[in-house]
Amino acid sequence: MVVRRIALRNLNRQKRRSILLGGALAFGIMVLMMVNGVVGGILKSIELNFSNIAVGHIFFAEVEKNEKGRIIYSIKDDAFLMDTIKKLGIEPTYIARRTMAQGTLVANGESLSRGLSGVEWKQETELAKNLDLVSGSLKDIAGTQGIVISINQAEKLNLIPKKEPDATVKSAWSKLPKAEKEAKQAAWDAAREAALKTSIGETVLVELQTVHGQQNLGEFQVKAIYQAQYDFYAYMDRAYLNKLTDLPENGYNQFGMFLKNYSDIDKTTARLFDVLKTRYNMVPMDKVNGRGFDTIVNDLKKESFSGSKFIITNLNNEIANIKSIFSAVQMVAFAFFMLLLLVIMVGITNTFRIVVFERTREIGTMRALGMQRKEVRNVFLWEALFLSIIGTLGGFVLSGILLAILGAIKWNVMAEMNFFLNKGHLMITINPMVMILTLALVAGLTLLAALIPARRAAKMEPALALRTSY
Amino acid sequence: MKKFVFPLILLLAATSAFAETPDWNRILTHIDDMTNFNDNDFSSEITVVTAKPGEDNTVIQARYFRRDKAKQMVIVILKPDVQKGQAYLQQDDDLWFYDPESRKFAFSSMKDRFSDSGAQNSDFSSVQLHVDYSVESSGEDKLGKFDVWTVMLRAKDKSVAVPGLKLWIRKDNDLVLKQEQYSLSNRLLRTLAIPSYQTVSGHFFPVMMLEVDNVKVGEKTQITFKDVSIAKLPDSVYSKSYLERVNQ
Repeated sequence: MVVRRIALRNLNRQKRRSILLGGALAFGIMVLMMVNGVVGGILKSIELNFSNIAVGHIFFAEVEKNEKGRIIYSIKDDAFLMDTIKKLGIEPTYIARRTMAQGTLVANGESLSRGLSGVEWKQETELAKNLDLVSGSLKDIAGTQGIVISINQAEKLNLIPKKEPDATVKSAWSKLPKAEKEAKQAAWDAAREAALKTSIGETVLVELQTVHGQQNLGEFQVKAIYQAQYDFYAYMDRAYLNKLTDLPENGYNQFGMFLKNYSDIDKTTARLFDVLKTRYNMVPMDKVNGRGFDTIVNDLKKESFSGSKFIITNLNNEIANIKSIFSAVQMVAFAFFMLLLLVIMVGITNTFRIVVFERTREIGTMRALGMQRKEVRNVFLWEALFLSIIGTLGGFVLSGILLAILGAIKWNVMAEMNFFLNKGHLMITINPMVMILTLALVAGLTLLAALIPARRAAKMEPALALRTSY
Repeated sequence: MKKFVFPLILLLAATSAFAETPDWNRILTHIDDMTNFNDNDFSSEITVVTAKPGEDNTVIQARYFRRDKAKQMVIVILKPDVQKGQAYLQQDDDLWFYDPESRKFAFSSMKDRFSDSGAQNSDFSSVQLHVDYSVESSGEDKLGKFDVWTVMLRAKDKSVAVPGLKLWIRKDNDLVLKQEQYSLSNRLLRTLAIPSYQTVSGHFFPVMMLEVDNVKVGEKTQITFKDVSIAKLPDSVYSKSYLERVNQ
């Protein structure tokens, strides 16, 4: 106890030196924690956003080739899959059976390419609840030719005015008196609000291809407009999309399943594969792991096979490339941190050598008063330990404050960048295990750095030390 | 006497109807034979001008090679400079798009737009009307100064890109002057006009094609073919390595 008190007093006695060393440690830890927090948050956002876009954590697909070699996706029967899910005790939080296609939406002489998501509205009540509608309703959409488009899509199709007028209009407004400018803006906003309502029922044509590659054109009426941070899809009734894509009325081509814990997806995928392979002609896991769905299918295009091939994959495989980029960033940050730590360790060793040199008479006095060699060594080691703990905790606090500020900012970035954000905000992740390991690493290395000077202090002869004067 | 008049009229009507019903199998085969190059290679320079409402016209120039016998086609874009070197390669039913920047080939489709222009990749591939389509209905019309047959064709197979085709065919030489393309849901998608043809070693090839997009109202495309040749080309032209080589 006395040893620790002396160590703390020594730290306090040489404030400037302690602040400099502790500050250097805190800075290094702050950089590491910030990079980890931001990168981890971005990865979490990607997982969240991607799972919403891809509609699931785990995906199941049935693939066959027609006589012309064209790949056709169509799940004919999912009874065995559902049975397997049940038998394995997997409890999905949500299951989506969708028909997905790519199409060009056309209205008012404008066109844009988007994903088409055919929804069985009566089954997918969660989607209906979660879509953030700004106009219209999904009440009677089942079984109709209704389409649900995003605000952005409605703007691009000229169904509603843009949120802000273009640069030429704005520049003309800027020359007006303030009151008139505000009136113009208010009229613009009112026109947009009105258009959001009147655009319900407007016709949108959709150019698409059947699963066999034939051109087709569907005519839809806008049923509702939704707002979202990304708008990859226009939603519609699955049966009508099936008709347009030449799939069976109750068929679908994508099975997506959300799990309660994202961390379970690799294990769950492997368990499902092991059972499904007993019934289905599955694409082997070594051709699936770490590869996106398109890559898997491109390989199948080159293969010759008859009948159906089945794929079970997950989001980790889809975003493997993105994950590896961010892992590399984390590795670089860690390497930088280690380099910084090495420099700090050299600084600590040198500082403690000077400290031992400066306190030679003090060490002699302590030894003369009966302090054992081990206790003298421990005074310096405790001093180093307190320094590392204070520095590390300081780094945690600093990074916590900065991360909280970063997380609170609403970033106005390009639409594509929204993919890395959660509703416009940076998601911040703090991993307690990383914090504990960092603390242990820094403490260990600091003790190591202080060990040689501490042992030197312990070995001093009391009489010799007392005689020394600098 | 009266009892002979009605049957006579019927007989005359039937005879004239029979005389005016064309042999569609012969005509469609003739069209295919005239416009496809099964005995030779074909090459030309193409210019695709696309006009979209409210936008400047876009112009793409490309070199175009075809070997219909082997179902092969290559198109290498020459202009604009930003797209120079981009290319399409058809081998049988597969179509690849080559991007010289990434040096990668990606699967494309005959139904896709040709390099974001108003034209479709299928506009440049050979046609097999007599194989792919059956006649649904036919009639007669006049298009400008030409007497034409009109014929509505339906795809026999689900893999045929355009499910419905209406053709205006000159009666005197079987050349297609106008074409309407219909979707599976029988909506008019595009209208093509071929005002004039050039002859190449007994084959006919358009001098120019005008395309009107009936879905994206106001979008028009003009495709011009010049420097047409049927000289034999090396086999290596129809390969991925050729496309990589021309970009070095």
